[in-house]
Amino acid sequence: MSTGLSPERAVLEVRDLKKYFPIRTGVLSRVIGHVKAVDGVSFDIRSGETFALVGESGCGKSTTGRTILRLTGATGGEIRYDGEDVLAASGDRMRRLRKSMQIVFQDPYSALNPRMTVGAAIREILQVHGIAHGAEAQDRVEELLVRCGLESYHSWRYPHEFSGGQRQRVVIARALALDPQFIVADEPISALDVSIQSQIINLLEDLQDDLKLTYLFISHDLSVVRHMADRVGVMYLGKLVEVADKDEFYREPLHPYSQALLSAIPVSDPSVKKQRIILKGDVPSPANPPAGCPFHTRCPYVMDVCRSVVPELKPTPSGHYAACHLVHPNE
Amino acid sequence: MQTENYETSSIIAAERSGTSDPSEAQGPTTKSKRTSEFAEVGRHLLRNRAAVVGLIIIGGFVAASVFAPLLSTHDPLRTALGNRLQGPSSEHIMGTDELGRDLFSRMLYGGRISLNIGLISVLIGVSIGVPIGAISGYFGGKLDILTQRFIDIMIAFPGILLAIVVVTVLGVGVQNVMIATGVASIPVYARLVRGSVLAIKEQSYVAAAHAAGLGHTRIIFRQILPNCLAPIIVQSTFQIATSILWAAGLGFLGLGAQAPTPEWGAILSNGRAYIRTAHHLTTFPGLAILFMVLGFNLVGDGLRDALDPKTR
Repeated sequence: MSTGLSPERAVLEVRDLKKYFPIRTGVLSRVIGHVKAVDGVSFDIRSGETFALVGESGCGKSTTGRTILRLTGATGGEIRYDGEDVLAASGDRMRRLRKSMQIVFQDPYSALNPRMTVGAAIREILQVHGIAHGAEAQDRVEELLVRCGLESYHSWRYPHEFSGGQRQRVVIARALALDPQFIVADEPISALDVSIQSQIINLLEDLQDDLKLTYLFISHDLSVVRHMADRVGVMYLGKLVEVADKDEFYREPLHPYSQALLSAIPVSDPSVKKQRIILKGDVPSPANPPAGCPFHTRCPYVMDVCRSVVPELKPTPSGHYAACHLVHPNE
Repeated sequence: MQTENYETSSIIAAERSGTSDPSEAQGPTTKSKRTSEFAEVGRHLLRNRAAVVGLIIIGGFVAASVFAPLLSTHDPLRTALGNRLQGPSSEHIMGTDELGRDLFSRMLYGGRISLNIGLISVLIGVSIGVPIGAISGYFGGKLDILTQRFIDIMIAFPGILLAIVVVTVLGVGVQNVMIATGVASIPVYARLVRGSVLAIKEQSYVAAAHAAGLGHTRIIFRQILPNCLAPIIVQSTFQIATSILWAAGLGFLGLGAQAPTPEWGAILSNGRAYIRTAHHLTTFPGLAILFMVLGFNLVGDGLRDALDPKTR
């Protein structure tokens, strides 16, 4: 299956990515099954764009981001960054890839080593990659901190001396230390106070403009995604169920799951009557996903075919991808 | 008067330049920062009253051991059977033992051995147990299972029994007792560190270090182990005491320090037979061990706080 809808250059190509976590039991750690956290996900990210992955907790969006950076190994599939096979890269090539791909974490409290000053943490990265040493490295650290809205003297501070928002700025500064082009932002604002969230969003946007960054923006907050993203991918139970340009997605979501998600966004105008689609039941266990369409257990429009045939993620004539038998009825 | 004035003003000037805010420091600050961090730990330790008491206690024991030849009033090995089991007096500050030897002198020389046993065995335990635990916890998988089953086997034996096995293999003697008690404490550290590593390696900053392309060795030593320091230090202060007691037990079984070598544990266990008639033979070595352990505990607590940037 090809999602190669991009006339522009795709900087990241993910094809049929799978990540299964084995469920082990007993003294001999026998494998009795798998949690299919990511189950055959394919998408492209174009250079300079923000691709948002949205979905409920546990749908596999964070695992997708981590697998792309090889923070966990993939079970199957292919990841190409700038044409280079990420999953097969080793040694020197992987080190070079790591320089261009970085990550910003959800929880800024666990993302910084409490025993290191933030300056020491960033200097270490610069030194290991031979980018700068000694005073030069310190200058670069201060430059990065200032770039992210902190002061240069903050480099001598320990993480516990910062607020959550400041910590997130440090995390972003650290991610920028290696001059990456691609950043996985794994729910970068969901652990922050609402008043701080917009500051961090603005910072991420400014950095994108100035440094021509490409983002994989992982979030469950559809209002933020609407603000940030160029394109949106919706994940459900380890599968992508819809991929579309942002405007198209918010105007006319095709997948019933996306429709339900969008109907849950609060509207600021109280006079607008909204039709909320309330989904019944819970997300099925990814260790034992339902046959056919993963969403059929909760879908309000479920048909017979949904229970047996897995719908493919395919484009409409307008280039709007959806994995649903309603959208592609001839299947 | 003139010179004194001059001196004070220069000291003030030196203090001013010394206390300048690090943010004002310019240029190659990496190196100077590292030394000042070391000084920072020391300063914090000295501000902690309990830790200072601990340092004084340990310092006292160390001084007593170092200057034992000067401080001792008698030859610690010379027996005087006519003068056995005497209570403390002006002639014998701590009395005499069952062979009429001066207890005070024996305690001084014994401190040398006990202090060494405590410190060196902990050093052995830490330097072998911590890497085993760190590697096992960090890499996980089959290596972890194998290591942990082996550690299980070691833990299944009581520490003292393990020490006996080692002494039996290596032979009797104070040096081998140090090795034996050290080896016996390896599983304790390995288990302790593995547990901490398992928790810490899941932290995002470790993932960030991976993403930044840092190597495994660097991640273990710079990111993970510094965050395991607190339990290691606490365990070590207890382990010093345990080692001294194990060494005493080995001595009691005739596997440790051989008579007539004075060693606190041996003195204590020999004195046990006379506890009703001459309790000073057990009281003094008991108190000595107690205070030494107390001293290490206080310093250990202070060190743990001083090393943690959060409590600094």
